[in-house]
Amino acid sequence: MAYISYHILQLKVESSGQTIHINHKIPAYLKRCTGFLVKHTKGLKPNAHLPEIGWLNLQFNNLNENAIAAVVACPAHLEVNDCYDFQTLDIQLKPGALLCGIYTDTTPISSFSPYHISVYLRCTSLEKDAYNTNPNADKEQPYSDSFYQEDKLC
Amino acid sequence: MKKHKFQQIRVTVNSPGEALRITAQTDKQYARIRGIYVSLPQESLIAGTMLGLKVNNQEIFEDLHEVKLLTSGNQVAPNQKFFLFEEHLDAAGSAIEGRLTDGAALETVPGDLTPEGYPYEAKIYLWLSNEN
Amino acid sequence: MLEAISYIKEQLAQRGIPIALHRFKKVVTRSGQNRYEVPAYNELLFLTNAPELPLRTKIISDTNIIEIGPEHAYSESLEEFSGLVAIVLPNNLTVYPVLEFIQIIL
Repeated sequence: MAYISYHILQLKVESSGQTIHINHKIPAYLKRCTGFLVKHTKGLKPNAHLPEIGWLNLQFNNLNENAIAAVVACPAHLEVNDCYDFQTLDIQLKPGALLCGIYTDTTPISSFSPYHISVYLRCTSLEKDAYNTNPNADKEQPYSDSFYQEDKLC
Repeated sequence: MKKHKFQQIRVTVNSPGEALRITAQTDKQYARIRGIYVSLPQESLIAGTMLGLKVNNQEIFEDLHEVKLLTSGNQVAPNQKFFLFEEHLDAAGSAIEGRLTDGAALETVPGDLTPEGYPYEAKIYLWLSNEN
Repeated sequence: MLEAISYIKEQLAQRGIPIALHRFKKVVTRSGQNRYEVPAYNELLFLTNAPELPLRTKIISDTNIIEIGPEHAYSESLEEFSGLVAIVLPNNLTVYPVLEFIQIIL
């Protein structure tokens, strides 16, 4: 049985127009990436929804698969938004391969303050028996925390 | 086999009312254009902005097609933002041509002042896929 | 000194990316225009003369963005660009540069 694991990259933007270069090693136990979501986490407090605060480009598997190009928006301060369906992907991850890319800030200067964004990668990991070394694992429900969920898609 | 890719096409709009020709090429490694999403940096720029699009010289959207119909606001989940093409549109290195027309009225700005919000970069995202 | 073409061929072989053609590409800049666009869809462009470019020159592509700084003066690294490659020169230049790339057609 495969399990979903949400792997998170958090990026800190400290100056207007800043470009962040991403060189990140995805853990080898993650085998497949089935979706992504990029969202503003904290920092900006705009009065109205900003359709674009920056854009992101990511290449998987050691620069082999340039799969993600996305714009990042920021909702108005205190606006409630529960629309967080992941964007579809389907990438077989090479074990321990680099995830490379850029995020560049395009926030209007009048709305800028340092902020964080998070890139959530919905990945499936190894079958749980393959990396769980606890002999009592079957009895203890080791994946009951919110970080792991049973993958109903696979 | 690679299955999904989101390809970005950037277009710089320098002045209100400007009409710009777009030329690009889809990634050769993906067979089909599954959908399109257009992003403008401010919501105020969306009204009246139009996008015409041709893929391999086949007209997909006329030049008068409103960007409003190809974008979405904050209350739409990422996976629902794309306008999906029902027909099979070839990607595989297809020639993309188009015309983006800014929605603002052509106005004369005194002196060399740049109107507020300009220049800006419009972004067209194509969802490419190898799945049927 | 780094031999650029060997490095590129070796790196693309590691990435499993076949090369249809590699050749040189120059972008000649001139007075009165400070923004240039080079379409590089289904291509890779490797910048080979970063140390000779004016400080604060920006190169913005779909996959990489750089601004020429003092750190590029002695660097042998090859920056890679793809998609729409926009070159933005700083204002008030007295000498206008030629940007040299190795163009890889995929």
